[in-house]
Amino acid sequence: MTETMKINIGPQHPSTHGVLRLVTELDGEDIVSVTPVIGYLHRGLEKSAESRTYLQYLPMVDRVDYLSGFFNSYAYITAVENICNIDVPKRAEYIRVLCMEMNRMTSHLLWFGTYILDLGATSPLFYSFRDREPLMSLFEELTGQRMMYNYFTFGGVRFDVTKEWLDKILKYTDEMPAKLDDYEKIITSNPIFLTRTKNKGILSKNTALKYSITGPCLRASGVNLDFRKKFGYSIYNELDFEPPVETDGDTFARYKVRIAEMRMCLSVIRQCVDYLKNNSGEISAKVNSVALKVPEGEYTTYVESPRGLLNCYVKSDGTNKPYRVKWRTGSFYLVQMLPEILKGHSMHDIMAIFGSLDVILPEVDR
Amino acid sequence: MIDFETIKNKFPYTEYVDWKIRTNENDIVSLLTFLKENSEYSFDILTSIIAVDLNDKIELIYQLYSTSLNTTAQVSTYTFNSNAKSVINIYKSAYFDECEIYDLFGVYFDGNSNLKRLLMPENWLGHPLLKSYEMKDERLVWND
Repeated sequence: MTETMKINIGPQHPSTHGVLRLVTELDGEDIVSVTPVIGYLHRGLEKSAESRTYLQYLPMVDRVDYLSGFFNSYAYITAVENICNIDVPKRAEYIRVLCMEMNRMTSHLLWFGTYILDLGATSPLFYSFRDREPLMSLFEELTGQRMMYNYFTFGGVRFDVTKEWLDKILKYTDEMPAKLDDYEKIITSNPIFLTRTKNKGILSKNTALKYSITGPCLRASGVNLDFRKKFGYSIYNELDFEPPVETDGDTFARYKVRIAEMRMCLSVIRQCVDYLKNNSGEISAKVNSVALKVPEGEYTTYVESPRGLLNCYVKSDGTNKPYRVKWRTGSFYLVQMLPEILKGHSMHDIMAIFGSLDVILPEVDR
Repeated sequence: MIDFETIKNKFPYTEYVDWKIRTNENDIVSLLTFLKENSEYSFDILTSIIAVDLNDKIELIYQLYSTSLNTTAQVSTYTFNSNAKSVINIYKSAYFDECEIYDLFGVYFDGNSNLKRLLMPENWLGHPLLKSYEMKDERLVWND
């Protein structure tokens, strides 16, 4: 072995989607070791909760992971609702799930564009952003925001959906499968893409479980673990869907799982729209969010976010402020596992493999 | 729901409180090993470790998930002197969790030789998530 060289990647690097520093030790072009350094985006979200009331903290939770704000709100709100024993009307639950699945779609579309960009192909980014835009506009129409929605509230949602809004979603779900076919025509059998992703960054089933990996990355390694299906929280047990599973565990398998998951999202969205069109009802349990009385107790929610298992643990001591809030996010454990998956690969594979994990740094650092 | 009786027979000091299996500091390693290795439970994923500062003590909650049983379990233990046993030899994913708890709560994990600050800067003084943490630090910009 020749003398190794240490090089520093990040914290400011376009491919890390945030600020992640990787201290990399190289032998020629081969990776000997990688040490991830995190914390550059630490905003003290868990400490901030302790000095704010339950309602004041609510707008902050969207920022845990800015690409999937609905999931974070849902995790926090259901934890509080469960401590307070609030029953949420069914229509509100359907609207929540509809929003979350649309959010998963926008999150995966952004991942698709930027991941292919990391590999050097520029044009798919514009396709994916073009197709993400209608959803962002729909969010804006419903919640007033394109990101950081602050739309869910204790006991339900803030505004009801309109028929026209639902029709626009139906139009979108009709058009989107053909566009996904287009993506796959350009990318999935592209020889350059295949050479860079096939058999690269193989994550075995055992390693994944050992490192507590969840979400699409685990399903690409052959474990059929999807908390929407397994726990059937909210109204997921009334919906008909089958999470896609791949067995190879390589970068290409993770790509395929996410593409298949987008198709699955469209079907779930359609089922939610069907329900909302044919059923009316309350959108919120009558709860006074400002003077919310939270009894003593603790609760952990399990939510399947686009990046894996999202836990929100809330402990209440009976006052109007949370005693402790803890976020468990999928990306945190993906970053921990990076050294294992990168070992033995070439320097130029780092971003190809790291990008396929879909790590979002704000939710690592919180 | 997991069967608590078998655990109670093997680990007599454990109690089942609310939804948590409560054990003492010394039993935590053997209890987690039992819950992972025993084919009746096989809790193969440690989803996270949660630390809660209860003023006179710190509670550590180990959240487990079993892919074969599709169930969760919460194992809780108290530490009165900010010392705990490391579980990285059972669950590899615990390393980042333990570093985070050391960083934010100042709990030392016996057996984890590479504890370091994860989220806060390396030269930071104090452990921010402790209830006794002084919030009037001049480095915290929101204080003015």
